[in-house]
Amino acid sequence: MDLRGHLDLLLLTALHDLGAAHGYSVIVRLRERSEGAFDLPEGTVYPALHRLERDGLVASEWATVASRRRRVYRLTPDGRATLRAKRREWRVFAAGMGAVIGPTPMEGLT
Amino acid sequence: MTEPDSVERYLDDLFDRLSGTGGAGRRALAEAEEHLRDDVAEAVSRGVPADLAAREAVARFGRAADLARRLRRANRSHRALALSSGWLVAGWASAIVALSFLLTAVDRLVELRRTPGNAVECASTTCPTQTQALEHYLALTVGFGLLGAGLLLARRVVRPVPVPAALPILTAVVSALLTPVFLFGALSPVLSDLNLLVGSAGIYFTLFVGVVLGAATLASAGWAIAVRRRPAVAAG
Repeated sequence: MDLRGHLDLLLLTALHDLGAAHGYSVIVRLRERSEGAFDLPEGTVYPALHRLERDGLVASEWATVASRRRRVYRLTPDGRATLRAKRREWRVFAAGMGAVIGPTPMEGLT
Repeated sequence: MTEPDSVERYLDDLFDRLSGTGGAGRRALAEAEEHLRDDVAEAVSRGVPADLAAREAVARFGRAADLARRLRRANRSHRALALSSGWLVAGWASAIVALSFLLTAVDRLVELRRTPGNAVECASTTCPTQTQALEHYLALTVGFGLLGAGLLLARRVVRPVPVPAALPILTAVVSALLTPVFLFGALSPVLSDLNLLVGSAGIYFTLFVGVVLGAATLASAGWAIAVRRRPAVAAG
């Protein structure tokens, strides 16, 4: 599935749900919540997290988790505000798309 | 010494591709290693053989080249971008100036063979001979050629940051605006005074730069279209 344009919203949501979390747990969270639908190369999550940090939407620090040193990410206040705005945008978008394409399969299409 | 597993080879490859990225690259490499080791450990705990678990973890993580490209893009600063773009533009500009000097040098050489020993037409009391003019332009060709080649090669070796996404369209617009200035400056008698402003660059300077800018306009417009169409899987 092509997640272009939606990865930021997914990552911000995962970090909101998990609180402070490292990249691996964010990916596991996305995989579980999407029931395997989001089959993206796992490595792509890290550049996206770095970009969100560069833009001030997440902050990160090294922490020891289960006796392992890991980079842990959390939302910043700007990240929470962006998440609220993106969630509103997505709901409007999804409602519009749903209204256009309809809830049932189209005749003649498999 | 045991053979490195898939994870080790992948991390070595990623390390090579992240050269020059400093602390951001080191941190990304550490995160990649943690992630892959966790993934392998989790699979092994489910009974998957270690070799297979390592290969599958690497496959799921994605190609090192793609990851390195995204990491460079994610961590680049505006200052580094400006420096990188300026470096690139300076390199190409030097190469173009060198080529214009080369054309002028060839012109002088042809002229010298036709009328050997004659002074170059000029208003000054100390006019150079055609041989002196030829040597002058050849020296400038070599100087600017070396400068341009040095800048462009150094940029490839150092690999600072990728060019910004806006550079192609910016180049197209600037080239499109400058093309008529140089092209008609070279061809039009009205604007021929422009040659005096850049006279030291050779008599073909304005014409040559005008043609190059015209080509650059078309090339950078195509480049901008290609950049926009390039797939960016999960680019967020």
